[in-house]
Amino acid sequence: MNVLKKKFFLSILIPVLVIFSCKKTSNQPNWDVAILAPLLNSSLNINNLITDTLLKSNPDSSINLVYSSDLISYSADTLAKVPDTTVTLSFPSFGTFSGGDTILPTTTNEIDFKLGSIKLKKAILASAFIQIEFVNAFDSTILFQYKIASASGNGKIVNIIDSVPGDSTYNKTFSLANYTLSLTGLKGIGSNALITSISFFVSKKVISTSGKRPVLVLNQKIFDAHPAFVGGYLGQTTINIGPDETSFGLFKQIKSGILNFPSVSVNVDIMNSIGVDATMNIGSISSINSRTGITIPLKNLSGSGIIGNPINITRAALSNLPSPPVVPTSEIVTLNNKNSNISQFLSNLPDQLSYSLQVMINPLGNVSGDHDFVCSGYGLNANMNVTIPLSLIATNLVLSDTLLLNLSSFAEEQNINGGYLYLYVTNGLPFSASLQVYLLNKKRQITDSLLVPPNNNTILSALIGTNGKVSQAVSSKLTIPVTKTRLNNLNNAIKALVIARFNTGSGSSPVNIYTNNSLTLKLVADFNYNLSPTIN
Amino acid sequence: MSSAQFVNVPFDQDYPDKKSSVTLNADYFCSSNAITTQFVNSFYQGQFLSGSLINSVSNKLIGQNQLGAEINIGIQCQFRPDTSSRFKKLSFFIHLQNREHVDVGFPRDLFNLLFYGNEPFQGQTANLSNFNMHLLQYQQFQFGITGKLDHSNIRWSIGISVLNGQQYQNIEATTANLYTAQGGQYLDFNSNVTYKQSDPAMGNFGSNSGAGFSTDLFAEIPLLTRENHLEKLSLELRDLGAIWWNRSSTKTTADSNYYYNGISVPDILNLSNTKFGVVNTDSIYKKATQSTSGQIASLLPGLIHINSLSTLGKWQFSKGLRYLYNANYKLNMYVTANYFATKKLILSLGCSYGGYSRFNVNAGAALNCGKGYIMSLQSNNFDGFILPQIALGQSLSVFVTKHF
Repeated sequence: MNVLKKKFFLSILIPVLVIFSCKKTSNQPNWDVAILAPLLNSSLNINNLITDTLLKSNPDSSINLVYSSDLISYSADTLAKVPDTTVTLSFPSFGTFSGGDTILPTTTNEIDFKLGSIKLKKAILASAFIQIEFVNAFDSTILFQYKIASASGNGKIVNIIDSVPGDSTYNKTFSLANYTLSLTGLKGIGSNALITSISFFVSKKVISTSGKRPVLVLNQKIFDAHPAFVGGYLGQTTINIGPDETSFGLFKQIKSGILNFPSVSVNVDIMNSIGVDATMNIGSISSINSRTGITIPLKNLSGSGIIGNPINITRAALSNLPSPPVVPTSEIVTLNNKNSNISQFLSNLPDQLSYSLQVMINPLGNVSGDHDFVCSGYGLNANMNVTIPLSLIATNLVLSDTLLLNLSSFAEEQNINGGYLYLYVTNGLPFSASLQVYLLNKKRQITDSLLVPPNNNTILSALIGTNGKVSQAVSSKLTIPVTKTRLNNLNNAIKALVIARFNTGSGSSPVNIYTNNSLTLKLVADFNYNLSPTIN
Repeated sequence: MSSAQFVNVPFDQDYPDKKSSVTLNADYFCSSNAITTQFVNSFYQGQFLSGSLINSVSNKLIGQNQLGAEINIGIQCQFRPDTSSRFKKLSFFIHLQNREHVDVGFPRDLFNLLFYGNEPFQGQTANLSNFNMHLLQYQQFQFGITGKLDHSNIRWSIGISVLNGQQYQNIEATTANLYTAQGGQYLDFNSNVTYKQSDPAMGNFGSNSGAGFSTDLFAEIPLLTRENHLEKLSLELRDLGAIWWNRSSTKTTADSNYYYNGISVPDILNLSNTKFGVVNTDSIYKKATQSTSGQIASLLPGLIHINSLSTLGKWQFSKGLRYLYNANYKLNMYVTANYFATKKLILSLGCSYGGYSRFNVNAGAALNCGKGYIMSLQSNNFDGFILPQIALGQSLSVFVTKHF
């Protein structure tokens, strides 16, 4: 029986062990496969390389590069200064006064602002203060009424009624913000003069002795005046602007190389928002390339041009509207290859422009009949508006840009054993490009370089026909070897520094870029991949 | 019983007086015309499949290939009525089994695409058409009668089964191909695929996703009866039936053309908003497929088995033809020699060709342990245990019977 049982259980146990020796583990089967698949496709045209706002299409599909840069910005607030001014009035004492009597008749005087040749008739104050200091040497309280009849705000004039105890000094400051000052003086035909008046009263009997020192002294101080508007005659003066520099951002992504513009047009738009006639004399404008250290001054050709030649600027007008209050005038001066070296000027690929100029205000004197004006915040500006047809010659022109990357969602990266990334480019743009791509980590450190010789890193130029237009796109294939280390670098990269070197070919003729010129690219993965399907 | 060698239950004649018996049975097989045993084992065990292992399979592939596997575990109770009963010439049985079956028909390119990748196919079209798969899991409750005709000694058996459908999956890809452009610049996938699935929420053991019926028929005809020489011919029809799956079953069709040339990036100079490596499979699935819910029906993979058994003294020669229809199965021919080594021990050795596989070696043993115990252990793919690197299948069948 025991032997039988033993045979029985062995005959069961052995096959069960055999069957379950192949018991499934918790691991998943996996194997390596060769995957060849496109990852992404895209296209580039000139709009991707240059901001849309810088490009303008023409009817023949050619493209102009347009760029506007502030050249000069002069604020006229310095012409509209109202200096701090103090006027003191002293009043001798005499006689005995009963309560309620007027000590002195109303005394009117002018506060004269010393403005040299400037003759202001009117001022609207954005902010200003008047300080009144009243010394009362009487031994009893004096009442006074202080008025500025020619200063009105919100329909009211300045009218201060107050009292000063005996043998004391009254000192208070009042705001004149938003007050309009009539500066025509007592007779109404003057200028720079503000009319004030003062009256004194006593409330009870006061006694003073004549001949003694003045017992009433009034100090009037206007200070911190910032006009929002001044009108009158602003005088005849010369303003020196510069030497100064301003940034020029059109070529900011170009790191090196040569870019020739056979044809270029620049309009210098001078906008006058001041109510004065003026004459501008530009002493110098220079193109500064701080990378190369080369400075090229703008020069006139054949006697014409803007350097050293006076430019007449007509006065602005008042709009009589709250905003904008000024109707500016514009004087446009054109620079081209016929009247200047503007092509050479811009081919220097400047990142800074320097300038020096003079502006003479009212060169012909007071021809406006005291109708000059300045509004605060409005002055004289000059913009440089550049129009460059995209017909150019590029020689080893290096552009660089930093692109944001987010490959953290590359979830299957750990299953990629290695392989290649192929970048297939069909180039319909009339220039070749050699690329270099550096990966940057969170610390902005370069962790990898993707396109390294001897692997091909050049995108060939499209073929150009005799009419200067692209006749045939040309295909190129760039190869990027992929290893586990590189995958890790790609995954950790937050930016890619792309450096591209452009050449428009070996010929001396410029190439034209049209709106329909584009470059298509496709990124293909050729990976050895560990496939591990989840099997339940 | 799913027995190759023993159409007759071995040693059954040694217990003529026993009224009843209980048999525990468990069997499995997995075979293919190209996929080696070593490959299957490595896959099942979650191992890394090396290039040489994959090559060993790929070199055997033909245009259209097949793989089949089954696991059956059950218990049968058989009893004979008392000799005074009018049914004394009959015996009755109840058989409970858990049945699992999968068969796959696949083109060569599908295997190569799956295990080599699409890179070898660049500039070519991988033909994935005529891929099909059937997966069936169900529990079988069978009631049967066996008997013998007096005048002809023809043994017969009838079994009627009620089936509890647990899980059904069927994929039919009448048309499918994948073109990989030269250089990998685009992929073009065409397909006309139908996928049927029983209630996906009801796939656990014993869950009821459907119900069906099946019938087993068996007849054994003695052709020659002489001393030490017996000739018998038997015909077995098994699993003639079907299962009807409930209304939560789904039928999904995909008749589509999918052209893929990479993610379109509107601004290549700003990749921060582009996601790589994340494929919205749900979106692709919804876009490319149409699904409907409702009842579906599936035929069982039925067996047609013809066997000729010759008994000459201690030797017995079993030869036959076997065919599973609706199951990617090719006609299987086998021949097996059984040797009655002792009165209690039978050894068998043979070979077969066809079915899911090609040439196989079968071997087994049956032992009468006495006291009513009979055990059998056999394999139709014995070479799968000895030479898994080249064998194309493996199987094992075990049953233990206790006569009472």
